[in-house]
Amino acid sequence: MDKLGLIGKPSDWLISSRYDATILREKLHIDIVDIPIEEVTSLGEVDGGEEGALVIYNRLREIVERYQLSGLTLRCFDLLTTVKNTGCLALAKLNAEGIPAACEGDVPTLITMMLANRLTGCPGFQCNPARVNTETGQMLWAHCTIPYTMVDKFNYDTHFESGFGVAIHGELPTGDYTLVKVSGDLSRVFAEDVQLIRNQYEPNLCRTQVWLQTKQVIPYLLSNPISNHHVLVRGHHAQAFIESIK
Amino acid sequence: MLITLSSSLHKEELALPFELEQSFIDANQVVAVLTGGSEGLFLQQVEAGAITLDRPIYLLASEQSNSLAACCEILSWINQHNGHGQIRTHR
Repeated sequence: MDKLGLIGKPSDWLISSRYDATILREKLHIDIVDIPIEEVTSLGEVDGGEEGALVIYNRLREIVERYQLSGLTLRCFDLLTTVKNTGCLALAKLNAEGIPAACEGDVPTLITMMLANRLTGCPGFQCNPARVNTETGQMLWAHCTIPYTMVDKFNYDTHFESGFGVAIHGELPTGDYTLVKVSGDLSRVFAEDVQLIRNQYEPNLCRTQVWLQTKQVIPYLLSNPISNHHVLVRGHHAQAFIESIK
Repeated sequence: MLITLSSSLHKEELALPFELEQSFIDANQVVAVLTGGSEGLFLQQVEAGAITLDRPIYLLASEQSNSLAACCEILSWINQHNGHGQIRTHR
């Protein structure tokens, strides 16, 4: 049984991202462990740069050890007003170390990242849809953290919404990827084999920004999406994801 | 009817993503979701009766500020609650 930590509650804006703990336990052998956000915010105000971001990482690493977690999701926006830094660096590092770690207390996305790890042995990039081109099928996806092991190069920037702390602008190799999401009760899965065609770096968006060439993603998102966050995984594995939750 | 939603999480300058014909706005429920973090504001509008799930809901997404992301989360909620809607990214 894998124990996944939910540190703080899911963010208030995740209105469609609920989960069914019983189904997750029975079908995926995953237990969700509630952990108070105070276990992180008790750090108090830390340095606003890389040093402070590493303090957050060290605290999360302690929590992983204490609760014997295989993964975690963090209500990270609460850190902005308390710890005065972000969880972006910490989550990037944990993911790179093989511990799936999702933002915003998003359990279904964490489950999807856990599945990615189980199926491919690789971490996933939790990302938001940002732009679509309905004529070409190209889409922009973005987020402020990404596993270090998924990027060719990166630099630190401020977190988009808050304008402070440490976020990551990473550049990914072009090529084959899978865009995937499972719902929190495992009743739905969306997975498509896609191509990453280019990286970009613009303001007014989360800092890591990638363009995908897709086929079915845009009509799915504009009419019946599972949720906001999806996960991008290296290689073509769509069929394996679909079969994994049958 | 046009309702505009934006979250205090975002400080950048915001604008409607694109213009719609007034006749379309008058005949439909149209919600311009300008930023991420607006999802709770949408629920407040539903609870206040300003938006009903009995009629289709058109969500307008821009190319900035996690607008499309918020539209996806809202549309998923609408579908989960047996409503109907769609996201529009251009006129």
